Amino acid sequence: MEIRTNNFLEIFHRTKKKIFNFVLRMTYDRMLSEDIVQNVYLKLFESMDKIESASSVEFWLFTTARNEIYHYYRNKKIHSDKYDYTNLEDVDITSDESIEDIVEKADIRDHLDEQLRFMPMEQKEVFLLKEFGGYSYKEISTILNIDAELVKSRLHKVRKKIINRISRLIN
Amino acid sequence: MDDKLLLMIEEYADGELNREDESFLFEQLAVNAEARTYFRNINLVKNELESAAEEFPSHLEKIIITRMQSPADRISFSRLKLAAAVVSAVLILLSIITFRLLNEVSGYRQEISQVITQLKEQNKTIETLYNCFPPAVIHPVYSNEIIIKPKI
Repeated sequence: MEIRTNNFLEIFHRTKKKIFNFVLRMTYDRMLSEDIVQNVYLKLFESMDKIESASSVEFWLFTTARNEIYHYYRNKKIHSDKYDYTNLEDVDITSDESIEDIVEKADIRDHLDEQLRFMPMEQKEVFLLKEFGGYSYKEISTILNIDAELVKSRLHKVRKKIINRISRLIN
Repeated sequence: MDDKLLLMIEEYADGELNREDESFLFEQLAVNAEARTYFRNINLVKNELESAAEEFPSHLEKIIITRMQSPADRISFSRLKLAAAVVSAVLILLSIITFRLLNEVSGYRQEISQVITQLKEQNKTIETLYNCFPPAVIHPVYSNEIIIKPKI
């Protein structure tokens, strides 16, 4: 029992930030994200004996989180709520960066969030699995059960879209 | 700009570009300003997302760990259930033994009452037998002579 708990805690602390940010960006609903993340980890604890290796745990977590998100949207047939954008008042003025850089970064972040929020789910999940999960194309293709080439092309589409928008902002 | 070059830039940024293609990409980056901008923007987006990543909420962590530990309670609860099951089994066993003992006692009681009834009947029979005998008549026999001496 204690070994199981320790294993769980080790996995939890290693993966919690990745999973939380993935779910948060997928849903843009903080309450819903917390519920989903909670369910995912409790499911993990119940299924600890079934998971074969440490590397498969992360796959399992992302797949379960994704399933939970889709399950929620299928049942509710609604989309995300408002998400807290970075407020200029929250910007750390003691930072080494110039105020222009900070404002520009805050703008970029806002644009990133805005684009992610309205992005089609199948494109968004590929992008987030890459950026927050840090997975290879092949690993993402395994999680999403699609071809690795499709992963690459979806990522490319998303990035092109984001960069076009950001380029306009910077220019 | 060529999509193939953009894909190569992305693959490089994702750490998935072959060694052979890397040198070609660097050559292109050296001469193509647009490719350099795209490369810079890809890294900018990556860095932005990395720095935008939020810390895991501490209240959620507490909830998960507390709820995760509740199966332990469930285990102690199941232990309690086991103890309750053992006690119930013992109680059932004791009830069976008591029932059987009661059965046996009532059997003995029946046997005793039968014996008592038999004894009473036997007593009556004996009494009846006694009463059947003719009445006993006792005739005294005087074997010694009675000498009467007058007192003068």
